[in-house]
Amino acid sequence: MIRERTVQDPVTLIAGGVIVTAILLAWELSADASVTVRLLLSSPLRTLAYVVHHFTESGQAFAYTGLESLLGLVAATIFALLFGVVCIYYPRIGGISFPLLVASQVIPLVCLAPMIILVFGPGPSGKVFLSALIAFFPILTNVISGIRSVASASQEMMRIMAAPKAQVIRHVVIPHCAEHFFAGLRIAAPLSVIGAIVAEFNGADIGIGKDIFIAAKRLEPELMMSGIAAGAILSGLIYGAVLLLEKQLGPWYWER
Amino acid sequence: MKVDIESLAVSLGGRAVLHNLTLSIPKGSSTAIVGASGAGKTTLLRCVAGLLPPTSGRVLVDSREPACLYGQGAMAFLFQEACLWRHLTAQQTLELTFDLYGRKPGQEEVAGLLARVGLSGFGGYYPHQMSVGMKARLAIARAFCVSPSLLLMDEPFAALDPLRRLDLNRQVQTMRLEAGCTVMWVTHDVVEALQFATHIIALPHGSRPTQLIDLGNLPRIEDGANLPPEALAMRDRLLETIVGQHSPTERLSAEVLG
Repeated sequence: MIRERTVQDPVTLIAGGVIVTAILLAWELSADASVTVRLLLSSPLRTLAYVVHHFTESGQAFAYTGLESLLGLVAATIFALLFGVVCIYYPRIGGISFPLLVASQVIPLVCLAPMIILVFGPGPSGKVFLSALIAFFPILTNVISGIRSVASASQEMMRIMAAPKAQVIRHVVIPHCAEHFFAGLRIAAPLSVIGAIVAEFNGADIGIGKDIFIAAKRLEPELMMSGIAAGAILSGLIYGAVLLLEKQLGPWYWER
Repeated sequence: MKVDIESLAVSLGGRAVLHNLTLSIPKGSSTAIVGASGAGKTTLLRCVAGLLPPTSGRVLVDSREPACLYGQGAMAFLFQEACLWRHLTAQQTLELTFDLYGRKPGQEEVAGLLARVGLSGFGGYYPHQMSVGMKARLAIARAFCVSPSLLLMDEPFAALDPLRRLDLNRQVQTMRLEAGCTVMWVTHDVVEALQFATHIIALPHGSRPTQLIDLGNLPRIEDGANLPPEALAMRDRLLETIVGQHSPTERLSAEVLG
Protein backbone atom coordinates (compact mmCIF):
# COMPACT_ATOMS: atom_id res chain seq x y z
CA MET A 1 0.00 0.00 0.00
CA ILE A 2 2.80 2.37 0.92
CA ARG A 3 4.56 1.65 -2.35
CA GLU A 4 1.40 2.28 -4.37
CA ARG A 5 0.62 5.50 -2.59
CA THR A 6 4.16 6.78 -3.07
CA VAL A 7 4.10 6.18 -6.81
CA GLN A 8 0.58 7.47 -7.42
CA ASP A 9 0.74 10.49 -5.16
CA PRO A 10 0.63 13.54 -7.53
CA VAL A 11 2.55 15.72 -5.07
CA THR A 12 5.40 13.18 -5.02
CA LEU A 13 5.36 12.98 -8.83
CA ILE A 14 5.42 16.76 -9.27
CA ALA A 15 8.15 17.21 -6.65
CA GLY A 16 10.26 14.50 -8.31
CA GLY A 17 9.75 16.09 -11.74
CA VAL A 18 10.74 19.53 -10.45
CA ILE A 19 13.93 18.20 -8.81
CA VAL A 20 15.02 16.28 -11.92
CA THR A 21 14.28 19.28 -14.19
CA ALA A 22 16.26 21.57 -11.89
CA ILE A 23 19.28 19.23 -11.92
CA LEU A 24 19.19 18.91 -15.72
CA LEU A 25 18.84 22.66 -16.12
CA ALA A 26 21.73 23.37 -13.76
CA TRP A 27 23.84 20.81 -15.62
CA GLU A 28 22.99 22.32 -19.02
CA LEU A 29 23.74 25.88 -17.85
CA SER A 30 27.03 24.92 -16.22
CA ALA A 31 28.10 23.05 -19.38
CA ASP A 32 27.32 26.19 -21.42
CA ALA A 33 29.32 28.31 -19.01
CA SER A 34 32.32 26.02 -18.51
CA VAL A 35 34.46 24.16 -21.06
CA THR A 36 35.75 21.83 -18.35
CA VAL A 37 32.20 20.73 -17.45
CA ARG A 38 31.42 20.31 -21.15
CA LEU A 39 34.57 18.18 -21.70
CA LEU A 40 34.10 16.01 -18.64
CA LEU A 41 30.33 15.72 -18.27
CA SER A 42 28.93 16.99 -21.58
CA SER A 43 25.35 18.33 -21.19
CA PRO A 44 21.81 16.92 -21.37
CA LEU A 45 21.07 18.41 -24.81
CA ARG A 46 24.43 17.36 -26.27
CA THR A 47 23.95 13.84 -24.87
CA LEU A 48 20.44 13.72 -26.33
CA ALA A 49 21.73 14.87 -29.70
CA TYR A 50 24.41 12.17 -29.55
CA VAL A 51 21.83 9.45 -28.82
CA VAL A 52 19.60 10.62 -31.68
CA HIS A 53 22.58 10.65 -34.03
CA HIS A 54 23.79 7.19 -32.92
CA PHE A 55 20.35 5.77 -32.27
CA THR A 56 20.95 2.34 -33.86
CA GLU A 57 24.24 1.68 -32.02
CA SER A 58 22.88 3.02 -28.71
CA GLY A 59 19.68 0.97 -29.14
CA GLN A 60 21.65 -2.20 -29.90
CA ALA A 61 23.87 -1.71 -26.83
CA PHE A 62 20.78 -1.10 -24.70
CA ALA A 63 18.98 -4.18 -26.01
CA TYR A 64 22.07 -6.36 -25.66
CA THR A 65 22.79 -5.39 -22.06
CA GLY A 66 19.08 -5.55 -21.29
CA LEU A 67 18.84 -9.11 -22.58
CA GLU A 68 21.93 -10.16 -20.61
CA SER A 69 20.56 -8.59 -17.41
CA LEU A 70 17.13 -10.12 -17.87
CA LEU A 71 18.54 -13.58 -18.56
CA GLY A 72 20.82 -13.19 -15.55
CA LEU A 73 17.90 -12.19 -13.34
CA VAL A 74 15.74 -15.05 -14.58
CA ALA A 75 18.56 -17.55 -14.03
CA ALA A 76 19.22 -16.16 -10.53
CA THR A 77 15.52 -16.39 -9.71
CA ILE A 78 15.23 -19.97 -10.93
CA PHE A 79 18.29 -21.13 -8.99
CA ALA A 80 17.29 -19.26 -5.82
CA LEU A 81 13.80 -20.80 -5.93
CA LEU A 82 15.19 -24.26 -6.65
CA PHE A 83 17.54 -23.89 -3.72
CA GLY A 84 14.61 -22.79 -1.56
CA VAL A 85 12.63 -25.90 -2.58
CA VAL A 86 15.69 -28.08 -1.79
CA CYS A 87 15.81 -26.45 1.66
CA ILE A 88 12.16 -27.42 2.23
CA TYR A 89 12.54 -31.03 1.10
CA TYR A 90 16.05 -31.56 2.49
CA PRO A 91 16.53 -29.08 5.36
CA ARG A 92 19.91 -30.63 6.19
CA ILE A 93 21.31 -29.79 2.74
CA GLY A 94 20.04 -26.24 3.15
CA GLY A 95 21.50 -26.01 6.64
CA ILE A 96 24.94 -27.08 5.42
CA SER A 97 25.11 -25.13 2.18
CA PHE A 98 23.52 -21.84 3.29
CA PRO A 99 26.40 -20.77 5.59
CA LEU A 100 28.82 -21.66 2.77
CA LEU A 101 26.86 -19.48 0.39
CA VAL A 102 26.94 -16.63 2.89
CA ALA A 103 30.71 -17.08 3.28
CA SER A 104 31.13 -17.01 -0.51
CA GLN A 105 29.75 -13.47 -0.50
CA VAL A 106 32.93 -12.14 1.09
CA ILE A 107 34.52 -12.32 -2.38
CA PRO A 108 33.55 -9.08 -4.14
CA LEU A 109 31.88 -10.38 -7.27
CA VAL A 110 33.25 -7.41 -9.21
CA CYS A 111 36.76 -8.86 -8.64
CA LEU A 112 35.61 -12.10 -10.27
CA ALA A 113 34.55 -10.35 -13.47
CA PRO A 114 37.94 -10.55 -15.31
CA MET A 115 38.26 -14.25 -14.46
CA ILE A 116 34.69 -14.98 -15.55
CA ILE A 117 35.21 -13.20 -18.89
CA LEU A 118 38.47 -15.12 -19.30
CA VAL A 119 36.66 -18.41 -18.74
CA PHE A 120 33.49 -17.68 -20.73
CA GLY A 121 35.02 -15.49 -23.45
CA PRO A 122 33.75 -12.13 -24.72
CA GLY A 123 30.30 -13.51 -25.70
CA PRO A 124 27.10 -12.97 -23.74
CA SER A 125 27.38 -16.11 -21.54
CA GLY A 126 29.94 -14.56 -19.16
CA LYS A 127 27.79 -11.45 -18.74
CA VAL A 128 24.68 -13.48 -18.03
CA PHE A 129 26.67 -15.58 -15.54
CA LEU A 130 28.01 -12.57 -13.62
CA SER A 131 24.62 -10.86 -13.71
CA ALA A 132 23.03 -14.01 -12.27
CA LEU A 133 25.78 -14.39 -9.68
CA ILE A 134 25.20 -10.88 -8.33
CA ALA A 135 21.40 -11.12 -8.42
CA PHE A 136 21.23 -14.62 -6.92
CA PHE A 137 22.14 -13.86 -3.33
CA PRO A 138 19.54 -11.21 -2.37
CA ILE A 139 16.78 -13.38 -3.82
CA LEU A 140 18.06 -16.47 -2.03
CA THR A 141 18.46 -14.84 1.39
CA ASN A 142 14.95 -13.43 1.20
CA VAL A 143 13.46 -16.74 0.05
CA ILE A 144 15.24 -18.57 2.90
CA SER A 145 14.13 -16.03 5.51
CA GLY A 146 10.58 -16.33 4.09
CA ILE A 147 10.66 -20.12 4.41
CA ARG A 148 12.01 -19.88 7.94
CA SER A 149 9.27 -17.49 8.98
CA VAL A 150 6.37 -19.73 7.90
CA ALA A 151 4.28 -20.29 11.03
CA SER A 152 4.80 -23.79 12.41
CA ALA A 153 1.09 -23.99 13.30
CA SER A 154 0.17 -23.65 9.61
CA GLN A 155 2.54 -26.47 8.74
CA GLU A 156 1.25 -28.64 11.58
CA MET A 157 -2.31 -28.08 10.42
CA MET A 158 -1.32 -29.32 6.95
CA ARG A 159 0.40 -32.29 8.63
CA ILE A 160 -2.83 -33.24 10.40
CA MET A 161 -4.60 -32.97 7.05
CA ALA A 162 -1.83 -35.17 5.59
CA ALA A 163 -1.52 -32.64 2.77
CA PRO A 164 1.08 -33.58 0.14
CA LYS A 165 4.31 -31.56 0.32
CA ALA A 166 3.50 -29.91 -3.02
CA GLN A 167 0.21 -28.61 -1.57
CA VAL A 168 2.02 -27.35 1.55
CA ILE A 169 4.44 -25.45 -0.68
CA ARG A 170 1.63 -24.11 -2.86
CA HIS A 171 -0.81 -23.05 -0.16
CA VAL A 172 1.40 -22.29 2.84
CA VAL A 173 5.00 -21.66 1.83
CA ILE A 174 4.56 -19.72 -1.44
CA PRO A 175 1.85 -17.29 -0.21
CA HIS A 176 3.88 -16.71 2.94
CA CYS A 177 7.19 -16.28 1.11
CA ALA A 178 5.87 -14.15 -1.78
CA GLU A 179 6.47 -10.91 0.09
CA HIS A 180 10.04 -11.95 1.01
CA PHE A 181 10.74 -13.25 -2.50
CA PHE A 182 9.64 -10.04 -4.19
CA ALA A 183 11.60 -7.93 -1.71
CA GLY A 184 14.68 -9.86 -2.81
CA LEU A 185 13.74 -9.62 -6.48
CA ARG A 186 13.34 -5.83 -6.24
CA ILE A 187 16.89 -5.58 -4.86
CA ALA A 188 18.22 -8.07 -7.41
CA ALA A 189 16.68 -6.32 -10.47
CA PRO A 190 19.10 -3.34 -10.58
CA LEU A 191 21.96 -5.58 -9.40
CA SER A 192 21.52 -7.79 -12.48
CA VAL A 193 22.11 -4.71 -14.68
CA ILE A 194 25.21 -3.80 -12.64
CA GLY A 195 26.50 -7.37 -13.06
CA ALA A 196 26.07 -7.29 -16.84
CA ILE A 197 27.65 -3.83 -17.20
CA VAL A 198 30.64 -4.71 -14.98
CA ALA A 199 31.18 -7.88 -16.99
CA GLU A 200 31.09 -5.80 -20.20
CA PHE A 201 33.83 -3.52 -18.82
CA ASN A 202 36.12 -6.55 -18.94
CA GLY A 203 35.63 -7.39 -22.57
CA ALA A 204 32.60 -7.16 -24.83
CA ASP A 205 31.77 -6.65 -28.49
CA ILE A 206 28.66 -4.64 -27.73
CA GLY A 207 26.81 -3.30 -24.71
CA ILE A 208 26.32 -0.36 -22.36
CA GLY A 209 29.38 -1.38 -20.30
CA LYS A 210 31.58 -1.45 -23.37
CA ASP A 211 30.33 2.04 -24.39
CA ILE A 212 31.08 3.49 -20.94
CA PHE A 213 34.50 1.82 -20.86
CA ILE A 214 35.45 3.17 -24.32
CA ALA A 215 34.06 6.61 -23.48
CA ALA A 216 36.32 6.84 -20.43
CA LYS A 217 39.37 5.81 -22.46
CA ARG A 218 38.64 8.14 -25.40
CA LEU A 219 37.24 10.97 -23.28
CA GLU A 220 33.88 11.00 -25.08
CA PRO A 221 31.54 12.56 -22.49
CA GLU A 222 28.40 12.24 -24.64
CA LEU A 223 28.92 8.47 -25.04
CA MET A 224 29.70 8.20 -21.34
CA MET A 225 26.56 10.06 -20.27
CA SER A 226 24.32 8.25 -22.74
CA GLY A 227 25.70 4.95 -21.38
CA ILE A 228 25.01 5.99 -17.79
CA ALA A 229 21.50 7.14 -18.72
CA ALA A 230 20.87 3.89 -20.60
CA GLY A 231 22.00 1.85 -17.56
CA ALA A 232 19.69 3.85 -15.29
CA ILE A 233 16.73 3.48 -17.64
CA LEU A 234 17.40 -0.25 -17.99
CA SER A 235 17.52 -0.72 -14.21
CA GLY A 236 14.30 1.24 -13.87
CA LEU A 237 12.58 -0.81 -16.57
CA ILE A 238 13.56 -4.15 -15.03
CA TYR A 239 12.56 -2.89 -11.58
CA GLY A 240 9.22 -1.78 -13.06
CA ALA A 241 8.74 -5.18 -14.66
CA VAL A 242 9.25 -6.81 -11.24
CA LEU A 243 6.66 -4.46 -9.70
CA LEU A 244 4.25 -5.29 -12.52
CA LEU A 245 4.77 -9.00 -11.90
CA GLU A 246 4.19 -8.48 -8.17
CA LYS A 247 0.99 -6.61 -8.97
CA GLN A 248 -0.37 -9.71 -10.71
CA LEU A 249 -0.56 -11.56 -7.39
CA GLY A 250 -3.89 -9.92 -6.66
CA PRO A 251 -5.71 -8.27 -3.78
CA TRP A 252 -4.76 -10.87 -1.12
CA TYR A 253 -1.17 -9.72 -1.56
CA TRP A 254 -1.57 -5.99 -2.10
CA GLU A 255 -4.33 -5.19 0.37
CA ARG A 256 -3.11 -7.29 3.28
CA MET B 1 -13.55 -41.00 19.87
CA LYS B 2 -12.14 -42.18 23.16
CA VAL B 3 -8.75 -40.81 24.15
CA ASP B 4 -6.52 -42.87 26.46
CA ILE B 5 -3.50 -41.22 28.00
CA GLU B 6 -1.23 -43.82 29.57
CA SER B 7 1.66 -42.89 31.90
CA LEU B 8 2.41 -39.86 29.74
CA ALA B 9 5.55 -37.90 30.53
CA VAL B 10 6.97 -35.04 28.49
CA SER B 11 10.18 -33.13 29.06
CA LEU B 12 10.93 -30.00 27.10
CA GLY B 13 14.39 -28.48 27.20
CA GLY B 14 15.32 -30.69 30.14
CA ARG B 15 12.27 -29.60 32.18
CA ALA B 16 9.57 -32.13 33.04
CA VAL B 17 6.35 -30.56 31.78
CA LEU B 18 4.06 -33.55 32.22
CA HIS B 19 4.82 -36.52 34.40
CA ASN B 20 3.07 -39.85 34.67
CA LEU B 21 -0.29 -38.70 33.43
CA THR B 22 -2.95 -41.39 33.07
CA LEU B 23 -6.44 -40.38 31.99
CA SER B 24 -9.26 -41.70 29.90
CA ILE B 25 -11.34 -39.14 28.00
CA PRO B 26 -14.78 -40.51 27.17
CA LYS B 27 -16.15 -40.52 23.65
CA GLY B 28 -18.34 -37.54 22.78
CA SER B 29 -17.22 -35.50 25.77
CA SER B 30 -16.16 -31.87 25.85
CA THR B 31 -13.03 -31.85 27.96
CA ALA B 32 -11.44 -28.60 29.02
CA ILE B 33 -7.78 -28.59 30.01
CA VAL B 34 -7.16 -25.95 32.65
CA GLY B 35 -4.01 -25.06 34.51
CA ALA B 36 -1.66 -22.25 35.34
CA SER B 37 0.72 -20.88 32.70
CA GLY B 38 3.46 -23.41 31.95
CA ALA B 39 1.48 -26.27 33.49
CA GLY B 40 1.58 -28.17 30.20
CA LYS B 41 -1.90 -27.58 28.78
CA THR B 42 -0.74 -27.03 25.21
CA THR B 43 1.88 -29.77 25.56
CA LEU B 44 -0.83 -32.26 26.55
CA LEU B 45 -3.03 -31.20 23.63
CA ARG B 46 -0.14 -31.49 21.17
CA CYS B 47 0.64 -34.98 22.48
CA VAL B 48 -3.00 -35.99 21.95
CA ALA B 49 -2.74 -34.61 18.40
CA GLY B 50 0.46 -36.58 17.81
CA LEU B 51 2.35 -33.37 17.06
CA LEU B 52 4.69 -33.83 20.02
CA PRO B 53 6.27 -37.20 20.80
CA PRO B 54 6.06 -38.07 24.50
CA THR B 55 9.24 -38.69 26.48
CA SER B 56 7.56 -41.81 27.86
CA GLY B 57 4.08 -43.28 27.93
CA ARG B 58 1.62 -43.01 25.10
CA VAL B 59 -1.62 -41.54 23.84
CA LEU B 60 -4.15 -43.70 22.05
CA VAL B 61 -7.16 -42.42 20.18
CA ASP B 62 -9.67 -45.22 19.75
CA SER B 63 -6.77 -47.63 20.45
CA ARG B 64 -4.65 -46.11 17.64
CA GLU B 65 -1.69 -43.78 17.53
CA PRO B 66 -2.96 -40.21 16.89
CA ALA B 67 -0.89 -39.91 13.70
CA CYS B 68 -2.91 -42.79 12.20
CA LEU B 69 -5.86 -40.38 12.00
CA TYR B 70 -4.04 -37.81 9.87
CA GLY B 71 -5.58 -37.14 6.48
CA GLN B 72 -8.81 -38.96 7.24
CA GLY B 73 -10.68 -35.96 8.56
CA ALA B 74 -11.17 -37.81 11.85
CA MET B 75 -9.10 -35.24 13.75
CA ALA B 76 -9.14 -31.44 13.52
CA PHE B 77 -7.00 -28.96 15.39
CA LEU B 78 -7.79 -25.29 15.98
CA PHE B 79 -4.59 -23.40 16.81
CA GLN B 80 -4.30 -20.08 18.61
CA GLU B 81 -3.92 -18.43 15.21
CA ALA B 82 -6.60 -19.20 12.65
CA CYS B 83 -3.90 -20.42 10.21
CA LEU B 84 -5.99 -19.50 7.20
CA TRP B 85 -4.61 -19.65 3.69
CA ARG B 86 -4.02 -15.98 2.97
CA HIS B 87 -4.42 -16.26 -0.81
CA LEU B 88 -7.80 -17.97 -0.66
CA THR B 89 -11.27 -16.59 -0.01
CA ALA B 90 -13.51 -18.15 2.64
CA GLN B 91 -15.27 -20.24 0.00
CA GLN B 92 -12.01 -21.34 -1.63
CA THR B 93 -10.64 -22.26 1.81
CA LEU B 94 -13.48 -24.69 2.42
CA GLU B 95 -13.25 -26.04 -1.14
CA LEU B 96 -9.53 -26.69 -0.70
CA THR B 97 -10.14 -28.40 2.65
CA PHE B 98 -12.67 -30.73 1.05
CA ASP B 99 -10.21 -31.27 -1.79
CA LEU B 100 -7.37 -32.18 0.59
CA TYR B 101 -9.62 -34.84 2.08
CA GLY B 102 -10.44 -36.12 -1.40
CA ARG B 103 -13.98 -34.81 -1.52
CA LYS B 104 -15.69 -32.64 -4.12
CA PRO B 105 -18.26 -30.47 -2.35
CA GLY B 106 -21.26 -28.87 -4.01
CA GLN B 107 -21.77 -25.12 -3.91
CA GLU B 108 -24.68 -25.66 -1.50
CA GLU B 109 -22.54 -27.68 0.90
CA VAL B 110 -19.91 -24.94 1.12
CA ALA B 111 -22.55 -22.22 1.40
CA GLY B 112 -24.32 -24.25 4.10
CA LEU B 113 -21.14 -24.62 6.12
CA LEU B 114 -20.45 -20.89 5.87
CA ALA B 115 -24.03 -20.19 6.96
CA ARG B 116 -23.66 -22.47 9.99
CA VAL B 117 -20.80 -20.38 11.31
CA GLY B 118 -22.50 -17.08 10.47
CA LEU B 119 -20.41 -16.26 7.41
CA SER B 120 -23.19 -16.20 4.81
CA GLY B 121 -22.38 -13.59 2.23
CA PHE B 122 -18.69 -13.54 3.16
CA GLY B 123 -17.62 -16.39 0.88
CA GLY B 124 -15.65 -14.01 -1.33
CA TYR B 125 -13.69 -12.45 1.54
CA TYR B 126 -9.96 -12.98 1.93
CA PRO B 127 -8.51 -13.44 5.44
CA HIS B 128 -7.09 -9.90 5.45
CA GLN B 129 -10.61 -8.56 4.90
CA MET B 130 -12.01 -10.43 7.90
CA SER B 131 -12.10 -9.56 11.59
CA VAL B 132 -10.42 -11.86 14.13
CA GLY B 133 -13.84 -13.27 15.00
CA MET B 134 -14.68 -14.01 11.36
CA LYS B 135 -11.33 -15.73 10.92
CA ALA B 136 -12.06 -17.88 13.97
CA ARG B 137 -15.48 -18.76 12.50
CA LEU B 138 -13.89 -19.75 9.21
CA ALA B 139 -11.36 -21.90 11.09
CA ILE B 140 -14.29 -23.65 12.84
CA ALA B 141 -16.04 -24.19 9.50
CA ARG B 142 -12.84 -25.65 8.08
CA ALA B 143 -12.49 -27.96 11.09
CA PHE B 144 -16.04 -29.24 10.61
CA CYS B 145 -15.74 -29.69 6.82
CA VAL B 146 -15.37 -33.42 7.20
CA SER B 147 -17.20 -33.96 10.53
CA PRO B 148 -14.22 -34.78 12.74
CA SER B 149 -14.57 -37.35 15.51
CA LEU B 150 -11.96 -35.55 17.60
CA LEU B 151 -11.60 -31.77 17.74
CA LEU B 152 -8.63 -30.28 19.57
CA MET B 153 -8.59 -26.57 20.35
CA ASP B 154 -5.62 -24.65 21.73
CA GLU B 155 -7.26 -21.41 22.87
CA PRO B 156 -8.39 -20.40 19.37
CA PHE B 157 -10.64 -17.67 20.77
CA ALA B 158 -8.16 -16.20 23.24
CA ALA B 159 -7.80 -12.97 21.24
CA LEU B 160 -11.55 -12.31 21.16
CA ASP B 161 -13.68 -10.27 23.52
CA PRO B 162 -15.75 -12.25 26.10
CA LEU B 163 -19.03 -11.93 24.18
CA ARG B 164 -17.57 -13.28 20.95
CA ARG B 165 -15.79 -16.02 22.84
CA LEU B 166 -19.05 -17.05 24.44
CA ASP B 167 -20.75 -17.04 21.07
CA LEU B 168 -18.05 -19.13 19.39
CA ASN B 169 -17.85 -21.57 22.30
CA ARG B 170 -21.62 -22.09 22.00
CA GLN B 171 -21.19 -22.57 18.27
CA VAL B 172 -18.52 -25.24 18.75
CA GLN B 173 -20.56 -27.08 21.39
CA THR B 174 -23.63 -27.07 19.13
CA MET B 175 -21.58 -28.49 16.28
CA ARG B 176 -19.99 -31.02 18.67
CA LEU B 177 -23.42 -32.31 19.67
CA GLU B 178 -24.57 -32.43 16.04
CA ALA B 179 -21.44 -34.25 14.87
CA GLY B 180 -21.15 -36.36 18.05
CA CYS B 181 -17.43 -35.66 18.25
CA THR B 182 -15.08 -35.52 21.21
CA VAL B 183 -13.69 -32.06 21.93
CA MET B 184 -10.58 -31.34 23.97
CA TRP B 185 -9.73 -27.70 24.51
CA VAL B 186 -7.26 -25.59 26.40
CA THR B 187 -8.42 -22.60 28.39
CA HIS B 188 -7.16 -20.32 31.12
CA ASP B 189 -10.71 -19.50 32.09
CA VAL B 190 -12.10 -21.82 34.76
CA VAL B 191 -15.61 -20.38 34.47
CA GLU B 192 -15.59 -20.90 30.70
CA ALA B 193 -14.53 -24.49 31.34
CA LEU B 194 -17.39 -25.00 33.82
CA GLN B 195 -19.82 -23.50 31.34
CA PHE B 196 -18.96 -25.55 28.28
CA ALA B 197 -17.15 -28.70 29.40
CA THR B 198 -18.54 -32.07 30.39
CA HIS B 199 -15.15 -32.98 31.87
CA ILE B 200 -12.19 -30.97 33.08
CA ILE B 201 -8.54 -31.95 33.23
CA ALA B 202 -7.03 -29.80 35.96
CA LEU B 203 -3.28 -29.72 35.57
CA PRO B 204 -2.19 -29.28 39.14
CA HIS B 205 0.17 -27.00 40.92
CA GLY B 206 3.27 -28.85 42.18
CA SER B 207 3.38 -32.63 42.32
CA ARG B 208 -0.28 -33.36 42.96
CA PRO B 209 -1.92 -35.98 40.72
CA THR B 210 -3.76 -34.70 37.67
CA GLN B 211 -7.49 -35.18 37.86
CA LEU B 212 -10.19 -35.73 35.29
CA ILE B 213 -13.28 -34.16 36.81
CA ASP B 214 -16.69 -35.24 35.55
CA LEU B 215 -19.07 -32.29 35.57
CA GLY B 216 -22.10 -34.48 34.90
CA ASN B 217 -23.72 -33.58 38.22
CA LEU B 218 -23.20 -29.88 37.80
CA PRO B 219 -26.31 -27.86 36.80
CA ARG B 220 -26.22 -26.22 33.38
CA ILE B 221 -24.60 -22.78 33.57
CA GLU B 222 -26.27 -20.19 31.36
CA ASP B 223 -24.58 -17.10 32.76
CA GLY B 224 -20.91 -17.22 33.69
CA ALA B 225 -21.35 -14.16 35.88
CA ASN B 226 -23.94 -15.82 38.14
CA LEU B 227 -22.65 -19.25 39.03
CA PRO B 228 -24.89 -21.56 41.11
CA PRO B 229 -23.44 -22.65 44.48
CA GLU B 230 -22.34 -26.06 43.15
CA ALA B 231 -20.42 -24.38 40.33
CA LEU B 232 -18.85 -21.91 42.73
CA ALA B 233 -17.66 -24.76 44.91
CA MET B 234 -16.28 -26.53 41.86
CA ARG B 235 -14.53 -23.36 40.71
CA ASP B 236 -12.86 -23.00 44.11
CA ARG B 237 -11.82 -26.63 44.04
CA LEU B 238 -10.33 -26.20 40.59
CA LEU B 239 -8.49 -23.04 41.55
CA GLU B 240 -7.05 -24.79 44.58
CA THR B 241 -5.87 -27.63 42.38
CA ILE B 242 -4.41 -25.35 39.76
CA VAL B 243 -2.63 -22.73 41.84
CA GLY B 244 -2.25 -24.51 45.21
CA GLN B 245 -3.79 -23.84 48.61
CA HIS B 246 -0.88 -21.96 50.07
CA SER B 247 -0.49 -19.25 47.48
CA PRO B 248 -3.08 -16.50 47.96
CA THR B 249 -1.43 -14.13 45.45
CA GLU B 250 -1.41 -16.74 42.72
CA ARG B 251 -4.93 -17.71 43.63
CA LEU B 252 -6.07 -14.12 43.34
CA SER B 253 -4.45 -13.71 39.94
CA ALA B 254 -6.00 -16.97 38.77
CA GLU B 255 -9.40 -15.72 39.93
CA VAL B 256 -8.85 -12.51 38.03
CA LEU B 257 -7.94 -14.56 34.97
CA GLY B 258 -11.00 -16.73 35.52
